[in-house]
Amino acid sequence: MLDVFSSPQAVAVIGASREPEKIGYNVLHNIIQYGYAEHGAVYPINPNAKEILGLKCYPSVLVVPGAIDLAVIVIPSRQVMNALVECGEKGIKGAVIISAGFREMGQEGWQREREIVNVARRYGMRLLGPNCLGLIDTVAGLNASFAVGMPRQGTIAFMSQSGALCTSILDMALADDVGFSRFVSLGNKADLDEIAFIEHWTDDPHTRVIIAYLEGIGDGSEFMRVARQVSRYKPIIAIKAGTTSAGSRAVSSHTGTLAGLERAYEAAFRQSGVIRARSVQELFDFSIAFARQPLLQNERIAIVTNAGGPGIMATDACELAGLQLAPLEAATMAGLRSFLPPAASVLNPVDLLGDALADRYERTMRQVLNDPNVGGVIVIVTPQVMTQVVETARVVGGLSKECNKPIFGCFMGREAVEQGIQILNEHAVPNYPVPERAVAAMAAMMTHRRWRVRPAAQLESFSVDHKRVRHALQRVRDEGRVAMSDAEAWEVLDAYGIATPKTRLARGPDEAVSFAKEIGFPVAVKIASPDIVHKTDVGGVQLNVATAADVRKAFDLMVYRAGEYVPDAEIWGCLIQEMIIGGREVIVGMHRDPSFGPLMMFGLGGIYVEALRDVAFRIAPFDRRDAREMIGEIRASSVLRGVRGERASDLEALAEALLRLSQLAVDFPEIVEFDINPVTVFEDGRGLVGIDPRLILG
Amino acid sequence: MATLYITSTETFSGKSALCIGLAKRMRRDGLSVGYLKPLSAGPRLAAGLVDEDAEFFRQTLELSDPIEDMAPVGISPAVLEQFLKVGGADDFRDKLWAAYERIAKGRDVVILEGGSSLREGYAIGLPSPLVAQLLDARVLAIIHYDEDLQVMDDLVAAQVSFGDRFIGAVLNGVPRQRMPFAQEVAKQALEARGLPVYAVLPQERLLLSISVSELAELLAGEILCCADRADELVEHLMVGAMGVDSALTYFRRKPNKAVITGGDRPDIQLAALETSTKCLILTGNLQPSPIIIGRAAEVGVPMILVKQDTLTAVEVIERYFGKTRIHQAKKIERFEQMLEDRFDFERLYAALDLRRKE
Repeated sequence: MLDVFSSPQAVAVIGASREPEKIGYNVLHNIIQYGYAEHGAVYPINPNAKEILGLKCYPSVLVVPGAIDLAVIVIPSRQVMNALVECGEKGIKGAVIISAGFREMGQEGWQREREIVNVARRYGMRLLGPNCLGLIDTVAGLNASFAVGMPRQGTIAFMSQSGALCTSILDMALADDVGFSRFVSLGNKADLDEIAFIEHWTDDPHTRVIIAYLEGIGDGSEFMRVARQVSRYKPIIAIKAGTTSAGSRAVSSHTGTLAGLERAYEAAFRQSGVIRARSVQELFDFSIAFARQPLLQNERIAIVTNAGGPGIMATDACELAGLQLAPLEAATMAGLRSFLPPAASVLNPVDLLGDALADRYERTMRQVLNDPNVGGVIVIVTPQVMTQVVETARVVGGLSKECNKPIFGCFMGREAVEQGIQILNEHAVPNYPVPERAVAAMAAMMTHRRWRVRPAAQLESFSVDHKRVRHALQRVRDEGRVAMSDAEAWEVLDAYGIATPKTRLARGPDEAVSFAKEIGFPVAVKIASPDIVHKTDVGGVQLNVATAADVRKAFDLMVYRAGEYVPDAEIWGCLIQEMIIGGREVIVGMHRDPSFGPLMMFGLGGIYVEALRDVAFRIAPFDRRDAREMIGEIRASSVLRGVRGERASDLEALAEALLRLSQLAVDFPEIVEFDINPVTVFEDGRGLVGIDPRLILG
Repeated sequence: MATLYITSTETFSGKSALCIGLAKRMRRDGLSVGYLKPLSAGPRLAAGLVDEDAEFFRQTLELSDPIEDMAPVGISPAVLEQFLKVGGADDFRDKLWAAYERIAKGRDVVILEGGSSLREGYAIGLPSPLVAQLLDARVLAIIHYDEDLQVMDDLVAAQVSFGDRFIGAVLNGVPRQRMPFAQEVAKQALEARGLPVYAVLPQERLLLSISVSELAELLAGEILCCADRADELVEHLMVGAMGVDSALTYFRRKPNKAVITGGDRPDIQLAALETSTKCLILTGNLQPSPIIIGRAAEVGVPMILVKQDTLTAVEVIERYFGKTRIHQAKKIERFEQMLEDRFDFERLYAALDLRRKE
C-alpha cells in the first residue's frame, strides 16, 4: 500500500533546481549522491531547465516517458495543488511534499492543505508531509530529503513529527554507527501519519523495531488499536513531547493541536504495548538494544563486572527498574568458583576483580549464560591498566553470536574503550557508557516481553438500561443544560447497575421532611444545584440529620449558604439522602480525551483527592485484569486490601464497577466527563455505593 | 383605538421586549400598530443621537413615522438645565400630545413605551400617571423578579400609582426554582386583589446573553477571524488561566460561552475550541499564533483581540451580562415564542376592547 514510499522504481523531483542554495537542488543531489540513480529512474521536473546535475530535466511529469512511482515536491505551497493534479493525471501513487506554507501558516495555509488532500484522494494518491524534511530509505538506497548525510542500513524504522530533530538524529546516528531501514519526516501529517507507518512497517522484513518522535496523535483510539496488535510482533518505541504544562503550550504553538494529557498518553502507551522513551538518548539506547540483540525471555538479569562500584550501581538500577537479579544456580556458582580468584564474588553481580583479562570474562560469561535462571547479561568493563579491552570486546561479541539471550556491553570510558566499542558494534552488541543506561534498555526489553506474553484483553458486556439513561440525558439537553448533578445523575448509575443510596430531591422544606421520614432518619441533606461542584466547600452538606425539625433547619441553611457563596447558582432544592456509614472512600471518574476517548480514573477519594492525587488511569474499554491492576496501582491499594488488622474492601465489586462505568462511557459518547466522589466500598462481599455522581454532556 | 402604556419598575426588566413582542403579535392579528416613547433620556441624547429603543422599533416594525414623533420629548442634560432655569412643562406636554395625535391617526393600537421606574418624569412635570391620563392609556407593568417580597411590592406600588388605568402586569425573569411560587402563590394572590397577571415568564439564558459583536464593542477589540459569526449570542463567560490539563474539563461545564485568555496561551485557546465556545477573547494585546487563528476559522469561532488585561476585561463584561438590550433577532424570536406559550392575549385584548382582524 505504501510501497511507493519504500521501494519506488522511479522518482520525480518537482522543483529540482540548478542553484546549490535551493532545497530543490539539495534533494536531487541527495538522491543522486547516495546511489538511487544507479538502479532507479530519477526525473528532475523544472520548466526552466533542460538538465540538472547531469540528468535530463522535464517541464512537467506529464511529459516524462515511462511511469513514475513517487513524486518529491519542493515548489512554493501555492503551486503544489496544480503539481499534484498533474501527478494524479500521470498516475503517481505517492508524493512527498517538502514545501512549507500550509497549516502551520494559518488560515490560508489550512485551506491549502485541505485542498491538496482532496486532490490526493481524488486520484488515490498518498501524501507525506507537507512541511517535512523528506524521507530516506536505506533498503532502496533513496535519500529523498534535504538532510545532510545518509544513515547506514540497519533494522530501525524511524519517523518524526519534527523535521529539524531528524537532522540531529541522523547526525548522531552517523557518529554512533546506528543504522536505519526507513527514516521518515512526518511534517504536518495532512494524510499519512504515525498510524499509517506503523501499519506499513509491521510486515517489513528489513525492520526489527519501529521508533517515533511524536508531539500529538490525531486518532488516538485507532493508534491504540493498531499499535496494540503490531507491538506483539515488533517493538514500538516512542518519545512523546509536550508532557508538561509549558511543553504543552509549546506543542500547541508548534503544531496547532492540543498536546494532550500526559496521563492519557501514559495509559494509551501502556495499554497498547508502546515503549516510552523519555529522551532522545533513551530512544537511541532502546532502539539499538532491540535492533541488535535477541528478545528477553526471562526477566532475571546477570551482571558481570570487573569493578565493584559500577556493579552496585547496576544492581540499584535493576531494582528501581523492576528487573530482578538472577539467583545463580549452585552448579553455576561452583563452576565460577573453580576458576575465579577467591576474592571474586560468585553471587550476582559477579565481580571478576580489576585484573580480569579477556579469558576470565569469557569463562565467566559462558557459565552465566548457561544458567537457566539468567535471561540477559550486562557486561561491565572498566579500563584498568591490564584490561584487554579489544580482546574482551571480541569475546563478548563472539558469545553474543552464539547465544539467544540479550547481552549488553557497558564498557565505561571514552578513549581507552573506543576500540572495544567499535568491535562490539561490529558484532551487533549495543554498548552503554554507564550501567544505568544499560539497565534502562534491559528494562525496556522487559516491558516488551511482558506485553508479548500478556493475554489478549477479554472485554465484558453488562446488561444495562440504555433507554433510561437516554431519557435522563435528553431531559438535560431539552433544558439547554450540560451539567447533571447528583440529583439526576444517580439515575444513570442505577441504570448501569451501580448501587446508590436512597435519594430524593426536595424542592422545599416540607418535602424535605416527608422524604426524610420516608427514607428513615438519620439522613444527609445536600444542596442540589447543577452549578455547585464542591458542596462541602460552600457548607452545602449536612450529615446525620436526625429529626424533622433539624431537616427543616438544614434545608433552609443549605439554601441560604448556597445563595451567599454562589449567588448565580441555580438552586433546585436539597437532596435528602440515606446516610451511608462505614466503608472506604474511593473516586471513579471519566474524562473523554479528544484523541483517545474515555480516560477512566480510579483513586483514593474523599475531599482530599485533589490534594493527594493518588490516582491511576486507563483508557476504556478495558478488561477485568486491567481494572484489578488499576486498583492495585494506587499508593493506597494496600489500605484497600486491609492493613493493621482491618478487613479487605470488596475489590471485586470495585473492579466490576469500573467496568460498568467504562461501558457507560463507551455506550454514551455524549457524556464527556463524569465523576463519582465518593464511591464508598464496604468489606469484601458487601459491595459498594456511588454517592455523589456528576456528569457533563458535550 | 386603544392606547397601551407599558411601564416597569427597574431597568432591564423586559419592557422593550414586551413592547416589540406585543406589537408583532398584534400586527399578525391584523391590527395596525403605532409606537411612541413619551420620554427619552440618557447619554445618547447628549451625543445628539436618537433614542435607541424608538429607532429599533422603527426598523423592526418598518414604521414610516418620523423618529421625532416616536420619541417626542428628549431630556438631554442641556434640556434639563434649560427647564430648571426657565420652566416649560407645558411645551413638553404640547409636544407629546401633538406627536401622539399624528402617530395614533388611522391606527388600531398605540403602544407607549414607558419609563424604567415609577418615579420617572416627575422632575419635568410629566410623571407616568399624568402621561397615562393625558393620552387616555391603559397601563400594563412588566415587573422583573429579584426577590419574592420585591416583586409583590413593585406590583402593588404600580397598581396604586395608576389606579383605574392599571390593567395588569407581567412577571418576568423568574428563576426556575421560583416559578412555582410565582405561578401559584403570587399570581393567585394578585388576582384575588383584582390585579390581573397576563404572564409569568421564566428566566432565559438566551435573553440574558450578549452578542459577540457587542463584546467586541464593549472592549474596543479587533475581530481577527469569523466576523460573519459576530451575531452569535454568548451565554456564559469563562476565564482560561489554568494549566491546560484541567482546562478541557473546566471548559466543558458551560455551553455557548466566551473564553477569555491571554493571547500567548495557544494550549488554552485550543482546549476552548474543543468545547462549545462562541468566541475567544485574547487579552493583553498579544497576537495569537496564525496556526491557532487558522484552527478557530476552521471551527467558526471568532477571535477578538483586546488591549485590556484579563481581569479588567472580565469586569467590563460582567457589568453588561444580563444588561444588554433586546435588539437581536434571536432574542426577539425567543421572547415572542415565550409570549405565545404563556401570555394571555385574549384577556389583554378584552381589557383594551380590541378585536382581532383576520
